[in-house]
Amino acid sequence: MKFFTPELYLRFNSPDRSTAEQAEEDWEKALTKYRKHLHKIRPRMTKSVGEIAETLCLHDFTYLGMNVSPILDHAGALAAVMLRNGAKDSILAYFLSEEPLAQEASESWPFSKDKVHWLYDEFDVRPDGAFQHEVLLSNGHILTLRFHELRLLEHEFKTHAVAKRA
Amino acid sequence: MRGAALTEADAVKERKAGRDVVVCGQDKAANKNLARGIEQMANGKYKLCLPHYATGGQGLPHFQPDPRPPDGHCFYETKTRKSKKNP
Repeated sequence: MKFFTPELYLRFNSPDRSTAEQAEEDWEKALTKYRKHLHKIRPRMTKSVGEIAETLCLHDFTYLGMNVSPILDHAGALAAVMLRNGAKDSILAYFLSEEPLAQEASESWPFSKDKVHWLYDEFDVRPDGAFQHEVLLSNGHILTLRFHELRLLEHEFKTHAVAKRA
Repeated sequence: MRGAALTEADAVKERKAGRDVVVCGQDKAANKNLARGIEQMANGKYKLCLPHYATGGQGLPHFQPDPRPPDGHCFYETKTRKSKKNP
């Protein structure tokens, strides 16, 4: 990740006050830099990817896992990243150009590795034109997905009363 | 959205129940210290999360339990990031 790095996350959570204060300022700068970065690469994105990159906010959603499967009659594969927030499920469906990468956190990662949730993410366009989405999870892992198209599917569970037959 | 004013003890109860609270005021350092204290008293171990890109200028920094549960966040205002007031 270039902007919302695990290192910056650790710094603004530092118990040392001056380190944490500096990191908070650096975070605001990273937000500004990322905004400019996204503005620059957006014309190279498809409509769907551009819209998702601009508006996606899955911060704090529970990470349920990722499933990768081949697409019938195609050379590529589909990765489904599944998330939940209350009664709402979100699935990010990536039409992959490469196998996903999962980079583990260092052993010294100080935060819980249970109940994994989404922290921060960033989009990029690679020199070969493929899109890249990197995600920092609460267990310190970084997911990297390289793809040529992306869809966001959302579903809200609603409970319905069922009438009993006499 | 800013709700009714709470005492610190009530804020701790709200956080224990998994509801959001927000510490408001002009002094960011004091807001942050109070928010941290509330989260720690309510839920013990905590972590800080700063606003996500997609929230724009509206997002507030917040403390939350590590790990969850309970749900919710202890937000705090900064010099430039303010909670919305009830109309």
